[in-house]
Amino acid sequence: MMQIHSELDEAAQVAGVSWARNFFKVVLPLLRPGLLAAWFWVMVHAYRELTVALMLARSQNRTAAVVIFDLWEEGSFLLLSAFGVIMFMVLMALSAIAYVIGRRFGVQEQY
Amino acid sequence: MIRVEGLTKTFTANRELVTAVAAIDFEVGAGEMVTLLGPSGCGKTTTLRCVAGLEKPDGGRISIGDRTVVDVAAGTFVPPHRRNLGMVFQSYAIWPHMTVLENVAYALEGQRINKADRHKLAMAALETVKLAHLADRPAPRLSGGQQQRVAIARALVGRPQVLLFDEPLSNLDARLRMEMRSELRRIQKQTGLSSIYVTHDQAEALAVSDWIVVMRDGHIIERGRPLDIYRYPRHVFTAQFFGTTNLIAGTVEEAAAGQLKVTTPLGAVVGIDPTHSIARGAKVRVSIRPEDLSPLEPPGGSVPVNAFEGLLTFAIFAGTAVEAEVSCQDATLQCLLNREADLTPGRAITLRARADACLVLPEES
Repeated sequence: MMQIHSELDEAAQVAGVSWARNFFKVVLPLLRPGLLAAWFWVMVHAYRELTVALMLARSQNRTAAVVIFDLWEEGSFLLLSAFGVIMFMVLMALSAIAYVIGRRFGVQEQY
Repeated sequence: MIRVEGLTKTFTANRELVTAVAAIDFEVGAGEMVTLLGPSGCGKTTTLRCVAGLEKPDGGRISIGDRTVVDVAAGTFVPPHRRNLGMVFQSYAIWPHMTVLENVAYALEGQRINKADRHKLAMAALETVKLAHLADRPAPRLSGGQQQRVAIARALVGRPQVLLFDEPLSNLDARLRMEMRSELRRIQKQTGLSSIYVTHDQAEALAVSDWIVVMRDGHIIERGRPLDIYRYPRHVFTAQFFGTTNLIAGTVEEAAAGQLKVTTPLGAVVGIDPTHSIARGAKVRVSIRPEDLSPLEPPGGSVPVNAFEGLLTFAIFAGTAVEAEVSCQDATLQCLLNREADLTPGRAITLRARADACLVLPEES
């Protein structure tokens, strides 16, 4: 969205077009190519998600996804929830690191 | 009519508070075009964006017509889409997924007008900018000048109360810029809308404005009619900003009857004081524009005031005139010479300037 020039949106604001209408008629159409690409990218990944996890998994060495799947199958929801929370926290930590790195080295918005 | 009072805007950049606009006041009279002129970072664009409502000021009041759109003390802030403005952006901000007509018509979406009427109004606006024949062309397939015209049509179509221009011509090539600035002026006069125009280009400012407001570091340095501000700037900064000028340091020897005698490396210079404030003994700068220096032919003979003898050191042909450099004693003067003049380097030349073309300005602190 940063690649959509802010003046495109501001021009609509000044012209008196409401935010919501502008989102659907200007921002979304301009975002469409990017959204489509992202959608395909995610789809391609999701499509083979389980197979990769299953292939990697051995009885001694199970991937997180497989553990969750097994717990679900066994019906032990308490353990499942706890495991879900731990996974969530790990992902949070990873995202936080990515954010810090991105802020230091990534593209910065100029004023 | 637009009135700006005590407008202040600060930003935080790298954890430091930067004052972009420091309590400035100005007014745009009905039907007038006022230009905010200054180098980049002087706060001119921020001021315009505050008027548009794209920035929230930290202090001051702005009123458009008889309506107050911002009053920080009273907590008033009218959002941009309720200010009834037309604005032309530096990037033109043409929506690339629409045709020319759709671009202009879309600016009316906020108003309760049916589609047929919207298209009719949009066509009328395109007529004004002479672009009606390209109405169905996809917007990205236009030249820079044509995109500019679409942006102007879009600013006009909603029948705004005021027009705002943010460096509208800076992305055009030199020839097109000349053409568009007279076009802009024509449209502004024709519609009779009060306008604010932001630019860093002094020639553009002189050409399009009724009034020029010169800004630096968030402050207004001075304001005036284009001719006055060009002929009689009251600050060294302004004199330098408007084209080239020779600035010669000196000390005031005599001050009487509107004329001052200044001792400079060129010798004594008689000039005028547009600020009406300079006293005897003051450290000053004398500003003489190159076009106000003309050769005294033949050299020598009786020497009138403000005649500077020197040697021609350098000359380049610049089309309408020759830009030359003359070294006189301890100073160098830039001047414009006739194309037919003798341009042999090293020849003796005497330049002369009328007293009312030598401006005595206070030394900048």
